[in-house]
Amino acid sequence: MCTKGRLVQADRQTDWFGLTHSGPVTTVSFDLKSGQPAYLEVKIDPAAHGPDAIGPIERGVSVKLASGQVFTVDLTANITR
Amino acid sequence: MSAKTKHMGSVQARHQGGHPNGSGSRAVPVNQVNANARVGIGASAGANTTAAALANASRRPRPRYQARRRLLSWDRILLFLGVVVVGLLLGSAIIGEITTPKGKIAAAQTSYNFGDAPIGGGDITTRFPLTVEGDARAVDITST
Repeated sequence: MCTKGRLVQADRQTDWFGLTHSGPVTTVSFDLKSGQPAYLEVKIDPAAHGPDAIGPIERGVSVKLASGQVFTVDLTANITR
Repeated sequence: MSAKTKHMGSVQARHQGGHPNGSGSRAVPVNQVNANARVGIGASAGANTTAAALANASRRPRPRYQARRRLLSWDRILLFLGVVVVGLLLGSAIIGEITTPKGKIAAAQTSYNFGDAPIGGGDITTRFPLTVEGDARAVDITST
């Protein structure tokens, strides 16, 4: 799994979700309370694509809400040896 | 008595083992045959017996109508069950739609550059603080 994301609010959080080698694992139902601090935590495994996957990468994590909104963050990095 | 009636009487007698010409057994008069036959429409029993038989016949439901009535009753039960199931589904869908949080989220920053990341350095992580406007429900998290 290369890029993953999870939602955190107060003492609650979702599991890490993201692409797997067998396809997306996205099933989530997480309620966010209005006015309370929350954040989207993301992580990238630089070695996910093997030892030769060197150079710049672009990734994204999207959160879809029941309201239909799709919130997306963009990530960039430069993988080095 | 007409010739037709006489002929029918002879046929009845033949069915009972007699012979039309009377040889071997006696031909049975029409009245006597019908009196021994099952009482029904056209039977020449007494007027009271015929009327009672007709009344019974009209009161007793015929098998075909009984089956049709039974079928109608099953149809109604199935229709009722179908209406109940559809009603429950619609009700739960409407309640679910009403009670689903419809809030939105926003963030001051929606992109991040990690810079150089060593391939053997392990996961690189960051957080995006969110503003929640109205109660919201996340239903999907995907990555690319």
